[in-house]
Amino acid sequence: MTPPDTHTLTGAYALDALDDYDRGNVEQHLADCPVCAEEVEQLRAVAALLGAAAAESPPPSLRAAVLAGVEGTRQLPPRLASRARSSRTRRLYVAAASAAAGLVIAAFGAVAVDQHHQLDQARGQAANLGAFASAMAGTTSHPVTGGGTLAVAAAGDHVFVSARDLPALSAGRVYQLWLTGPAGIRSVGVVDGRAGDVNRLVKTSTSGAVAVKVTAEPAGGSEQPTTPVLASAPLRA
Amino acid sequence: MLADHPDGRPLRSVGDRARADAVASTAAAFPEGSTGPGSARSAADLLLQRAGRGDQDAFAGLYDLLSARVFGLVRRVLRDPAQSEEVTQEVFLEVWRRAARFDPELGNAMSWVSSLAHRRAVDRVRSAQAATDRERKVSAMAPRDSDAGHDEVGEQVELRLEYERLRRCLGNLTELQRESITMAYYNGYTYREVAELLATPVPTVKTRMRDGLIRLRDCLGVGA
Ligand SMILES: [Zn+2]
Repeated sequence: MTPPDTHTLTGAYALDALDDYDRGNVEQHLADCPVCAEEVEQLRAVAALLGAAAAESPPPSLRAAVLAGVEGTRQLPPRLASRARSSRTRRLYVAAASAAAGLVIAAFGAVAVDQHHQLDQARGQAANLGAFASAMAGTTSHPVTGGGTLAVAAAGDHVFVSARDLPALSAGRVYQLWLTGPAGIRSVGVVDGRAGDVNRLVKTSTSGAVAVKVTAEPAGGSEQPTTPVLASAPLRA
Repeated sequence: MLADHPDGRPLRSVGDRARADAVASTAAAFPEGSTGPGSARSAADLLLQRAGRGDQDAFAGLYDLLSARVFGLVRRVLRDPAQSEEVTQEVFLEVWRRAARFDPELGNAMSWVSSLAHRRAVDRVRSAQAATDRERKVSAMAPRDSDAGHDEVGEQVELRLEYERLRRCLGNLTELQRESITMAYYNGYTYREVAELLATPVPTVKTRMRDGLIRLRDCLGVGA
């Protein structure tokens, strides 16, 4: 599924010079290629030195603002397991997560959500889904612009989507989940703008989906994203 | 672009005192740690780990150690000072929130924080892309407006040394390698945009970014 020349994109990846689609491919490749993962780590350290060359003091007032902000800000707990270094370990995590997804699907049968506006029945299963989400938390977690994280795990033709600590949106705005792939982009659900945490089971149906993305949209959701992507998580089958 | 700066461009920062304090307090708490002068890197690792356990003083120390890097980098990409302050604040709050998930096995704190800062700045500049596209294209080609003449607070010796070393190593790159890397990193362009701006084939730019960074890595001695 990964295009053959993906390993040559490590440089552009380390510079954040990829669009979402390429980035999804690279992240998928990095999960299975320790050589490239190691290279990315080193090239990112080089990029950090490029950043240091631009160093410039912020205004002194910023320090107080940052420290005041921290005062009321909850910290995320440590990961259950640190990110797998070797592809072998990572595959085990992914297998475990996929197995868990299988169980969730078996347990809830048709709970699968594949359209807008559905699914707050999933709330009732929140405890089980939450357990699955934390099983997944150690393996795949992507930052959401503005705050929070997004994690996904694929099992068969379903994807489990778990977002944590999403900041509250202003009134009349919702988060919207999208599946993207070579065939385009498709909405797979709308999330209350003040939900904070969300767990969703999504049916992929069409094959070839490569990533789950999140945007903020007007209430009711949009046909296609109308705002920048806030988070993107590649799917690993 | 770095090459546009005259020799001796002052690196402004919070000054030696705050950093020395941060290092000293880390050294006191971790007497076994290697926190002598010149190891801001390991000091940052330790401060970030302490911050991950809810230690706000350690977090303040981390801010003092890294705020000039974060703000300078963000400002380099975004240019607008007010937006840069906003993003810098977001970055540090994100650092605080995620501190417990930092794993020194998987990279140093400085690199971790810089990646986070850069990604945020790039996301911001791209989300405003339609509005500022033309401006960015012009600015990428022109020397960055100089900040010299404002407050010269002082210099961090370590930053200064890194800067000199980096200048020398950038000088070893081909022009295409150097331009591809700096346009992407300092201006937030994707490699496809860089290719268009430099009228160079996309695969070439992609390759130059990678082999240029590898050459920099080897020149700078960034280890495995
Ligand atoms: Zn590879």
